[in-house]
Amino acid sequence: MLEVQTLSKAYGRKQILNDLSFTVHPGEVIGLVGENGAGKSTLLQILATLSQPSAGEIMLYDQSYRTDVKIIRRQIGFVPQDIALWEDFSVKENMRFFEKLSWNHKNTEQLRQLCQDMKLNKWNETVKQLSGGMKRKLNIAVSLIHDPDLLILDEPTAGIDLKSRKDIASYLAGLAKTQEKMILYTSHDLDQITQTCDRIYCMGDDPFYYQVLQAYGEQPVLL
Amino acid sequence: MKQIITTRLMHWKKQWVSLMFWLLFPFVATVSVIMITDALQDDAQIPVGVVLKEETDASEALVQKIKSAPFIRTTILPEDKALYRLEKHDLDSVFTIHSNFEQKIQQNNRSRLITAYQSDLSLAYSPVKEMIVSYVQQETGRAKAAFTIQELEKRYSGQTQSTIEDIVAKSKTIQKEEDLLSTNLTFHGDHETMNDTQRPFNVWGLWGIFSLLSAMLLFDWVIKEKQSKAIWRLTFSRWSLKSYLLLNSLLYTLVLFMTDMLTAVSLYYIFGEWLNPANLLVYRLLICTAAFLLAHLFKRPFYYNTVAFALVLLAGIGTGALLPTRITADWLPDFASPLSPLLAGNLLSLWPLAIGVTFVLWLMRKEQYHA
Repeated sequence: MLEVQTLSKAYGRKQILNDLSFTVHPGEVIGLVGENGAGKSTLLQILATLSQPSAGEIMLYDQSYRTDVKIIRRQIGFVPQDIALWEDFSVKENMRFFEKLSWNHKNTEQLRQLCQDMKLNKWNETVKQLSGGMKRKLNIAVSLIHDPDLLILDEPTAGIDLKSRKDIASYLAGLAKTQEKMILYTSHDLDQITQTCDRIYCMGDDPFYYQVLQAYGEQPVLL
Repeated sequence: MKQIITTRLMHWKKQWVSLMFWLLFPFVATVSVIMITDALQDDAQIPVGVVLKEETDASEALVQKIKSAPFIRTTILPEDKALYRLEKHDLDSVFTIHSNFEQKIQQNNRSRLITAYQSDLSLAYSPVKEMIVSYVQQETGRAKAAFTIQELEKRYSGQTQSTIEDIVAKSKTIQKEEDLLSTNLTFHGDHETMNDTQRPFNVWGLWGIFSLLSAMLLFDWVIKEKQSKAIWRLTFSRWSLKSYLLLNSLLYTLVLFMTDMLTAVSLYYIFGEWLNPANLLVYRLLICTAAFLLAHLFKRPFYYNTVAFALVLLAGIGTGALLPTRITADWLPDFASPLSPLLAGNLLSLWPLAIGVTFVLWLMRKEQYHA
C-alpha cells in the first residue's frame, strides 16, 4: 500500500504541491488529471524517488521514502513521458539490456511473453523502426522487467493511435487486477482515464477537469 | 561485472566499426606516419654511386664514411653500370676507388686513388668529393704519423716496439674517444640523449599522441550515455549511474590496454622500439581516466570532441611528439609532460598524480539523488 501524507513541494517560493494526502491500495489504478503545470509530473517524480519532497511523508508497504529509498526503488516501475530506450537496439536487445541490469532475472522467453502480453510482437525490430504506439508499449514493458509493486506512468499514451491506447489501457487494468499492482498514471485522455481507473484525482486550482469528469458521471477527488 | 560486460558488448556490437577504427587508429597512424616520413627521407637523399675495385679495410671504411653522410644514398655497383646510370641522371655522381687504394694511403701516395665522375646536373659531387679528400688526408696523415713514430723509436731506443698496424689502431682508438667532429654539444644541465635513428618522429611519442586522441574520442560514450533518456532507468536497476560508468570505463581501459600490448609487440617487430609494459599501463590509465573525467564536464559530444582535439594538438606540440624538433619540448620538464611515462620512462610524474587525485575526488563526490 502506498500512503502519501501532507506532501508538499516548492521550487524556491513557488509552491507546486501543497499538503497532498492519499492512499493507493494493491490492485488499484489511479488516474491523475489536471491542467499543465498543476504538478502531476512533479508528484510522479517524487513518488518515483527521482525528486525529494519539501515536506510530508510517503510510505510504501510501511517503508519510508526518507530512509529506505534503495529498497523502495526495487518496488517501483517508472514509465516516463519520453521514450527511454536505446534507439539502435531492437525490442529484444532493449529488453535483454535492461534485464541484465535489473535485480530480477528473466529469461528470453519470459521477456518475450511480457512484450506479447502488451501486444508488442515486433521482437527483432529496432526502436527507431517502431511506430509511436509500439515504442510506448516497449517503454512500459522495460519498466516491468523487475516486477514492481507500484507502477508510475507519466502520460503513457500521449501521441499514439486509438488502438494502441486501448491496448495499453486494458493491459494496465489487467495488470492491476491480476497481479495486485498499484498503478498511478497521468493522462489528458479523459475517456481512457474514466474507463481504466478505479479512482481519479484532480490536481490544480482550475475546476475544469473536475467539472468535465463529473459530466462523465465520475466522482473525482480534489487534491 | 558479468552483466556490465554483456550490456557493453551489446553496445559495441552496434558500434563495432567505430570501435575498431579507434582501437587500431594509434597503431595504423603511427606506422603510416613513420613509414611515410622514412620513405620521404629516402627519396630526398641524393643517389651517389661507388665503384669498388679493391675490397680492403681502407676502401670499406671510406664507403662507410660516405654512407654515413646524411642526405646521401650510396649504391655500390660495377663501373659500367654506374657510368650508364650517371648518364641517365639516375645517379648524381660516381666515385671509383681504384685498386691498391689501401697500399697507396699507407705509402702516403695520394695520386690516382679515386676517380670521380659528375654530370651537368650533379648536386652532391662537391660535398662527397670534399668528404673523400678529407678522409684520404686523414688516413694518409695517420700512416705518415705511424712511420714517424717508428722512426723516432728507432732513433731513440734503437729498435721498433710497435708495428704500423698497432700505431694506426691506437690512433683510431684515440680518435674515436676524443673525436672533436662528432662530439655532441649540449647546454649545461641537459642530458645527452642517444639517438641512433634518423627519424624526425619518436615512435612512442607519436603513438602516445594518437592514443590520446583515440582515447578522448572513444570516451565520448560517457556523454552520449549520460545524456541518453535510457540511462535514468539505472535508478531502478541494481547499478548506480556512478558504478555503471566506472565499470564500463574500466572495461574500455582494459580493451584498450590489450590493444596497446599487441601494438607494442608489433611496433617492436616493425621498428625495433620496445616500451616497458608498466609504462604503457600507466599511460593508458592516465589518458583513459583523463578522458573519462573530462567527459563529465560536457553535455554535448561536439564541444567535448572540439576540446579533445585542441588538447591533443597542444600535447603534441608541447611535448615535441608532433613537431620534429626538440625546441618545443625543451621548455617542458619531463616531470610535467603528459607523455612522460612513454618518453622519459617515468612511472610517477605530474599528470598521473594529478589525474589520480582528481579521480579519487570524483569517486568521493556524492551521487545526485536521482542518479
